[in-house]
Amino acid sequence: MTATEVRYLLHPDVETVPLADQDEVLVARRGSRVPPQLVSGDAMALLNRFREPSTLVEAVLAYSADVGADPMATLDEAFGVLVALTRTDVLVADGTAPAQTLEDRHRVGEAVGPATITGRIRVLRDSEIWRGVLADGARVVVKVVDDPVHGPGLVSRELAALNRLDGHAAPRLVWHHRTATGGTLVLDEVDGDPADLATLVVDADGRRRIASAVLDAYVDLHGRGVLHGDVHPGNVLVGPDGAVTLVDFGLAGSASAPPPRAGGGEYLDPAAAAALRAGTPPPALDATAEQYAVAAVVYRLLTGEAPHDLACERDEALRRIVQERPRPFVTVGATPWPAGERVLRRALSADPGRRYRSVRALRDAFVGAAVVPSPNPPDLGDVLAALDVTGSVWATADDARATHVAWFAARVATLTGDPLAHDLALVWASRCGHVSPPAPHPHSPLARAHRALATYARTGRPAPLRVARDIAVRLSTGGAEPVDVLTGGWAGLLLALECDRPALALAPGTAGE
Amino acid sequence: MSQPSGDRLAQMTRTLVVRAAALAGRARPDELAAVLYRSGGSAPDPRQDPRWPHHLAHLAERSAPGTERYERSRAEHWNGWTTPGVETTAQVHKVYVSPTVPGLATVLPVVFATAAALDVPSWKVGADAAGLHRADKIVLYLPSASRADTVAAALADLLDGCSAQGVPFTGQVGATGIVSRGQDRPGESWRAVVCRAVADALDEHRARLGPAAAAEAVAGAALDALADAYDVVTWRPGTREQVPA
Repeated sequence: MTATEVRYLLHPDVETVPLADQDEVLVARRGSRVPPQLVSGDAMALLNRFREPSTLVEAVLAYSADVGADPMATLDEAFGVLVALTRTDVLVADGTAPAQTLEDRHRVGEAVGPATITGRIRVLRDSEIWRGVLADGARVVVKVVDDPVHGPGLVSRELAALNRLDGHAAPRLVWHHRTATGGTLVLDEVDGDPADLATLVVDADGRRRIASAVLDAYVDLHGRGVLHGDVHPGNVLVGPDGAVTLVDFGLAGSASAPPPRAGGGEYLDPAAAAALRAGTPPPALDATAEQYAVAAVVYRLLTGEAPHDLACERDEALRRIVQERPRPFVTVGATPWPAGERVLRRALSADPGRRYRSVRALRDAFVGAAVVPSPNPPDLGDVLAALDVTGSVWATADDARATHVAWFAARVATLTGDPLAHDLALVWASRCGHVSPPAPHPHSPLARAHRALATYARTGRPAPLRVARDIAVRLSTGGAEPVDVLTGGWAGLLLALECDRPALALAPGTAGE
Repeated sequence: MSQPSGDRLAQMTRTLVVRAAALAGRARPDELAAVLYRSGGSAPDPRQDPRWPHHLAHLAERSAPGTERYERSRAEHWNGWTTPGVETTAQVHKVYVSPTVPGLATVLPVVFATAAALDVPSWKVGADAAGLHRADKIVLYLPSASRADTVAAALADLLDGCSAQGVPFTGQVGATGIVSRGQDRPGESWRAVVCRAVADALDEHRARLGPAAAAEAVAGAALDALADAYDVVTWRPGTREQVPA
C-alpha cells in the first residue's frame, strides 16, 4: 500500500480546545506524553475530515471543495502539519496499533498486590499511576509500567534505587511485581506538591527554605550512592510540613552503573548539551552533572524562571546552555540575592571542574549565603493622603496635573500593592479621562534613569542601578509641589520604588498603566 | 462565639462615596458606578505566576473534606463549587470573605472546610490574579438570610485573627470586616445594584448642589436620599423594606 492509499483517522482519544478570541485550536491525544499542539482553525477544519477514515487526497479534496480553495494549495500548506500530527499519533493509520483506544489497565476496587485501588491519578499509553490503600488503611500509589521497549529497564532502575534508598528522600517500596513489559510497584503515597507549585504560595524566605530542603534531599540521595537521573520540579514533591520527597526513579543509577541520559531543557547540563549539539553520545551522568540540574531547579524555585533564556531554536538553546552564564536574578524579574546568586553561578558553571565538589558542598554554601534583609518600603501614608479628594491637590489640579496624579497613584499601586493607591488611581484616572502624562524628554534625568534601569534589568550590572538611584535622590531634593511625575520629588519617589523593582519600571507616557 | 460587628466596612464605604462625590459632575454616572464597584481592591503584581490562583484553590480543596461532592466549574474569571442539582438562581443571599492577598493561602482552606461542613450550596473564588485582588474575591451563596447569617458568623469567628481587605457596600459581620453580607436581586449582583444606585444619587445631588459643594455634603445628601431603600450606614441587606428579596 502506498502512502496515498493509507486511510488516516483523527484518533477518538484526541481532545481539542479552541482558544478564545484566536483562530487556533489546542490538540492533544489523551494518554500521550506529547504536549498539546497548536493548530490553526483552518488546519482543524481539515483535521475534522479525518473523523472517519480517509486518505489524504480524499480529505484535502473534500475540505477544498467546502471552502472553495485550490486543492494543490491546500495540500501544500497543510502537508507539514499533517505529517507532524501523524508523528505524534494524533492522526493514525486506520487499523494499526497506534489506532487502538487507550483503556485503563486497572479499575477502582481492584486488588493489586497488597493494595486496593481507590482512584486514578494518571493513565498514559505506556504507564499508569493509581491511588490505593493497604489493608491497614495506609495510603499508597500503584505504579504500572507497560512498555515493551523501555519498561523493563525503567522498572529495574527504579527498584534498584528504591531498595538502596529504603524510604530515605524517596517513597518506601511496599511491593512489586515484574513483567516482560515492565511491572507494577506499590509505593507509600507522598502528600506533596511539585516544588515549583509549592513556591507559589510562600514568600522569599519560604522559597529559600524549600530550596534548602530540596538540596538536603539530594545530599541524602547522593550520600546513598544514587543518581536521580530525572531532576525537575515535577519529581520533587514538597509536603505541607516542608519535607521534600523525590519521586520517579526509572532513570536512576549510581556512579558504578550510570543511567541513560535523559531530561532536557533547562535541567540539561552543559556537557550533555554540547554533545547533543555535536551529535555525539552524551557523557555518562555523574554527581557533578546532576549538581547542575539540581542547581537549575533551585534557580527556578527562587526566581520562577530558568537560568538561561531557552525560548529560541533548539541549537541556539543548546549553545546558551553550553556558553552562557546563568542570568542574574534581576534580569528575570526576581529580587537580587548576590550571595545566593554567586553560589548558584558556581553550581551552574559550564565547566564541571568549577562546580562544588558535591551537592553537600553546594547545600552548605547555599545555606551559608548571607541574606540581606529587604529595606523597609517607605511609608507612603501621608503622601497618598495628600492626594485624596479632601486635600488641596484635588481642589487645585487642572486636567494636565490630574494625569500626573493618576499616573503616580497607579504606579504606587502596582509597585507596592497599596490598596489606598489603588482606589486613588481609580478616582484620578476617571477625573483625567484615563489620559497618561507626557513622556519625559529623552535628555531629561528621568529618561536617563529609566534607560539605566532598563539596562540594569537586562544585564544585572550594578553600575546602571547606581545611576538610577543617584537620579532618584537628586530628584527627591527638588521639592514636593506640584505633583509632577517627570521631575521633582514625586518623580524621585516613584523612581526610588522602581529601583527596588526594576522589572516593573515604567516611564510616564508609556502604555501599560 | 460571634464577634460583635465593627464599623470598618461602613467607614471604608463612606470614604469611597465621598471620593465618588468629588468626582460626580466630572464623570458620568456609569463611570462613577464603575469606580465605586472596583474600589476596595488592590493592584496585582504583573509578574505573578498564572498558576497561582488555581494552586491556591487546589490546596484549599485538598485540605477540606467534603468538597469532593461539589461540582466544579471554571469560567474565565471565577472558579465555582456547586452542589449538584441545586437551583443556583435561588441562592441570592451572599457571604463575602475578603482576606488580604497574602492571607489567601491561610483563609481559603478555612472557607472551603466551613462551606462543606455547613452545606453551603454554592461558592466561587477569583480564578486569576485580578480576581484575587478584587475586594469580593470569595463569595458564598445561600438560599435564605438566616442560613447566610449562620455561615457568615461561623466564618467571622474562625477568621477573626486574619487580616481583612474588606468589601465595600456590604454589611460587616464580626469585628474585622473580613466577612460581610449582601443579597442579590434576581440576575443582578448586590454590589452592582447598590453602586449604580449610589452613583445615580451622587450625580443627581451634585447637579442639584452645584460644582462648588463639598464632596461630603454631596455624599451625605445622596445617601440620605437612598436611606429608604438601603441601610446606607452599615449596608446590611434586607434591613429596609424596599430591598427586594
